[in-house]
Amino acid sequence: MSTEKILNKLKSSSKRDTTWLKQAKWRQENKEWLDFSFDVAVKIMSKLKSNKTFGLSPKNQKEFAELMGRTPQYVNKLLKGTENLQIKTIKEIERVLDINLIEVPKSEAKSELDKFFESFETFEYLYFDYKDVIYNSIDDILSSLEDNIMGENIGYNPTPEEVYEGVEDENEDKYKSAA
Amino acid sequence: MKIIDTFAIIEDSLYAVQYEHETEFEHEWARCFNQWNNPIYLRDFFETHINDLENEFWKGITIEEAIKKTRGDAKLLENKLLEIAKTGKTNNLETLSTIFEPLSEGKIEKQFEKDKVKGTIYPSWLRIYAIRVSANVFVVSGGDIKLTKTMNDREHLITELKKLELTKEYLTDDENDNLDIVELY
Repeated sequence: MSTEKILNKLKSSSKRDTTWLKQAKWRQENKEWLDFSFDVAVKIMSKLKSNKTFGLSPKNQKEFAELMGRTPQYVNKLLKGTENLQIKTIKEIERVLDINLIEVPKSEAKSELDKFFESFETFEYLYFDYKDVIYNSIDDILSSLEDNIMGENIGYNPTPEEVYEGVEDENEDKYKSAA
Repeated sequence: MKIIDTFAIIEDSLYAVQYEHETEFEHEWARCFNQWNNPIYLRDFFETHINDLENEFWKGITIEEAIKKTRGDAKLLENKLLEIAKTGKTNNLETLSTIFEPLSEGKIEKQFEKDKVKGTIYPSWLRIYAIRVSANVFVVSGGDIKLTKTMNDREHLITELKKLELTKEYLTDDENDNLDIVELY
C-alpha cells in the first residue's frame, strides 16, 4: 500500500484521543500535590516491603488498611499516587507506619534580640581591633559637623589613649584571636 | 496480539494503536504515561527486574529512586509532547521528527522505519516505539522501560519488537485496505 493511501486511511479511520491529552494537562495543572501524593505512595510501599523483610507489621496492603481503619480499595487508590491527601490522613499514615512524611521547617529567622547580641559582639570585636579606625571616623564626622557650625566647637575629642586609659576588657584577647 | 484501532493524538502527525488485550487503556501512548505515573506498577516492574537495575551502569540506584526517576523523566517527556501538540514544536525547536530516532543507531529505512523516543534525562530508560509513515507522521506501537543494552534479551522488550512488526503489517497490509473498500459498499 502506498504511503499516501496509508496516510489517508489513518486520517479517515482513526478515532480521536480522548484520554491522554486530558490526563497530561491534569497532571501538569495539579503537579504540586500530585508530586507529594506520589512520593507518599512510594514511601508507603518501601516501608511495607521493609516491614515484611524484618517481620514487622503492617507488612502488606491488607494489614495497612486494617490498621488505618480503611478499606483495601482505598489503600490501593492511595498507592496509585493520585489521592489529594488530607493532613489528618497523612498523620495517620505516619503513626501507623512510624515514618515521617511532612515536617514544618524550623524558622531560620533569628529573633531581634539574637541579632542585637550578635551585632553587639561583632561591634566589640571590631571595636577592640579597629578602635582607631572607628575613632578617627567618628572624629572626622564630628569635625565636619563642627566646620558647618560657625565657630562652635560641638564636642570633646579625646585621644585613643585617653579613652582606654587604665581599663582592659577581659574579652579583648578573644576578639583579637577571632580576627 | 491484534490491533483493533488507531487513535489520533496529534492530527496528521501522531497516532497510536490499541491492542485487543489492552483495552484498559485507550491506546498505547496513554498506556505508557499511565504506567509511568503509577507507583504500584513501577514498584512491581523494578522488583521483577531488580537484577537489571543492579547493573553497575545504573550506579547503584535503589528501587525507590528508580520509581521517582521514571516519573520525573516521564513528566518531562510528556510536557515536551504537550508543547508539540499545542504549537508543533518545543521551546528548543524540537518537533516529532527530531525527537523520534531510528530504533537501531544508523539504521535508516526508506519506508516505514522503526523508530523510538527516549526520555529526556540522560541516561533514560524510557522508550516509546513507533513506525514512521512519513517524515512527520508516526504511529506508536508501544513503549516500555529498557534497563538492558539490547532488546533481544528481555521478554517485555521482545514483545515491543513484535508490536512494531505488527503495527507495520497493519499499516501496509493490502487486505486491510480492501476490507475498508468492501465495507463502504
